[in-house]
Amino acid sequence: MHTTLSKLFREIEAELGTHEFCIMALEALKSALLQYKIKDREELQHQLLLIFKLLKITKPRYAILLDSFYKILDECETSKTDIPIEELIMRIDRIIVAYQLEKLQLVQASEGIDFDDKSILIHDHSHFIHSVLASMNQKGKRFTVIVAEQNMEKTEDNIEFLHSHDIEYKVVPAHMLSHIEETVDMVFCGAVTFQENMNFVMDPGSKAIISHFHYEKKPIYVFITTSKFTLWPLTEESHEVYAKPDIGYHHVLTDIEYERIKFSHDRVSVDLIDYIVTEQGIFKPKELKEIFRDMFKKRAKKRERYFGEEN
Amino acid sequence: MLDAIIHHWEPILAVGIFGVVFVAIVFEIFDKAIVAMAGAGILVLTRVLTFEQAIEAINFEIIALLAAMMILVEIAQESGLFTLINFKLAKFSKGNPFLIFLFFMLVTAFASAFLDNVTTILIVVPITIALVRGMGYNPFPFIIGEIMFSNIGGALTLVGDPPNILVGTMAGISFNSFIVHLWIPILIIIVLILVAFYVIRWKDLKPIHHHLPKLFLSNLLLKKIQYQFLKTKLDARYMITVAVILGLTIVGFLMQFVLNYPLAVIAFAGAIILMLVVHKKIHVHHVLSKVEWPTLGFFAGLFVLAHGLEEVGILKAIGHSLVGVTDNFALLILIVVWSAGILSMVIDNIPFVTVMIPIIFNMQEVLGSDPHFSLLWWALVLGACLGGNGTIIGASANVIGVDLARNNGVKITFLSYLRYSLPLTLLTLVVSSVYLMVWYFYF
Repeated sequence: MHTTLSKLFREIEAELGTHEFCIMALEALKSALLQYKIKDREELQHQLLLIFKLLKITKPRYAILLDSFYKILDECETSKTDIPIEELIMRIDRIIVAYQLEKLQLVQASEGIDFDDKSILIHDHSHFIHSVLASMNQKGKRFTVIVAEQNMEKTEDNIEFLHSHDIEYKVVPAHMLSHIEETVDMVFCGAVTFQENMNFVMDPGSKAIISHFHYEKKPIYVFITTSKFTLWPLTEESHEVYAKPDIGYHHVLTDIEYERIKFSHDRVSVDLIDYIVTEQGIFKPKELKEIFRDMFKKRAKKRERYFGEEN
Repeated sequence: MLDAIIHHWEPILAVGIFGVVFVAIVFEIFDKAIVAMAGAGILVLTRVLTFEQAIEAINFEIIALLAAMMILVEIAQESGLFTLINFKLAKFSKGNPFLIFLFFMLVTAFASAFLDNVTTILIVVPITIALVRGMGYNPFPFIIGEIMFSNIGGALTLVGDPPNILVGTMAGISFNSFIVHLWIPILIIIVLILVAFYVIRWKDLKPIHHHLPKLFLSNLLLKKIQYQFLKTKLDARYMITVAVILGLTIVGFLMQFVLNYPLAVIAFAGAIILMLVVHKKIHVHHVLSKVEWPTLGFFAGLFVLAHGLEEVGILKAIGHSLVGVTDNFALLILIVVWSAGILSMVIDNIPFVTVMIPIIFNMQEVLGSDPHFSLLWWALVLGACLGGNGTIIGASANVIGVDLARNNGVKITFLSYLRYSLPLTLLTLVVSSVYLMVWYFYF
């Protein structure tokens, strides 16, 4: 079942972004709880733990979803009613509202960035970046966007967004950015998660662009909420980058077949980043590391309580 | 001299050409439309039929009815009407495999009663695979069920399945008469097949109310489908227009006895009115390109081939000899239903029915006075439509359904299909036989 779940998670996440995916998953859990024919409280707890265990083995693991589940399990444990379905649903509603608020707070925090007359380079199709750009555009800030072309689906998603919000933009293939580096004032990136080794997990191609503009001393911003942090120790598996070899890929003009490998994401050190925009404010790498370590310790205690395990 | 020789060999030529065409269709040596049209052409070239006779043999009412239905269905599909229905089905099922199976089977049966079976399969199978597999279930029983229910539902109405169109138009049976005479056996068969599927595949189809992880997975998939559906830009006005005109066309079929028009005229009126009303939304060239011209050519060729057999007196001889086999009319009904059923399992039921119709007309010469003579038509319809379920090659919907499944990574082999289809098809033929016998002896 976890294979099916992993596939579904990846599909939704690719379409909606991690944050919205998590909200959709929580809404699905609410509907499932309403349809669930409960026998007793123990059975409910057992079934919730079954889902939790599944979430812990999906590839990739979604930190934000696991974070929500700890909160749901807390509610189930502390509830005083025999069958706490209603309490759980109310708790899920509160989590969803909190996540929606997080997004607004992140957009609010980004008001501290000077947008005026700036040329902003974007690459991935981060929904947070979309929200920030839309909000700043609505507030009358004047800026232009350069889209570094990558996977066409994601690039077109960015184009569609910029076009629909009437934001001035141009598109440049990612491997030709050196020709316009002078015109770029700052780089905006989204991130899937932030891990114990102080690396961000980002869209493939991000590392090359960030390294390039770090070298050019252009300010680089990463937009991420703290609920997306990976708050469990990294294992061998956590370093895995999913590679999808396409054996028998066809040359466009000839009959030549060759192996073409595509990767799922890049890992980028926080030290290459200048500013990290979160719902709690804008941080420098050193400050973010402190916040992460603190959250990591708190989560370790909670993990111990529910699973009594090291990882 | 040449004419005299040809005249002498005419019966052998007609049977020989028909036989070669039949074998070529069964073994799919060439495209069946090419084979049928080539056979018709050879009949004319060998002077078994004149060109005028060949043209007269083509039943243009059937050709027009099929073309009009194809236009209506294509525009309905383009409008997103079927996408909407599929989405609603998925939503109402709440991800419960028990309900998904029930809804999809009933909708397939209902839709194929009014739409072409192949079209119905093309619409329901992909969404079922996406939905069922997305939830982690095995789509296999769902696809087999949909194929079978498309053939069962198709048997209910005059426009549901090509054999019915052939019988209805050539024997002059009305649209309503089909429903009135066939709803009882079809309803019984639907219930029995549903129960049989639930019993055989209970493990895959049982409700999931007690399994929270499965409920979670199902609901998440439904949310995804809902999101994608809402993102799709559907034109509500366009869809409503299509639904209304499609509905009115079906009402026209039901009111045929009042309107007193051939079905083809009603269907064509619906198609033309629809194209006029939504002309800004469609590209007529594209819509007309979606009419399955090879299918229409196949029908035209078959009509000519069957007429060749008729012209040389072969069908009359078969009809008389069949009547001569027994003077027991009940036994004759059973012979028709079971021979149609068993032959339709392995050969295309369209050429079979095309040949059987004149044979039954010839029987009428001998048995016309029997008040139950019409039972032979219902025996032919039930046998041909339900028998088509028997094997993977029994009907076009089966072939298309299995192809779609394979393209989506679900492997259905001849034997894996047969394991379910054969006993269930025999069951449907038994129900049909019992129904016809009850009617013969008690009404």
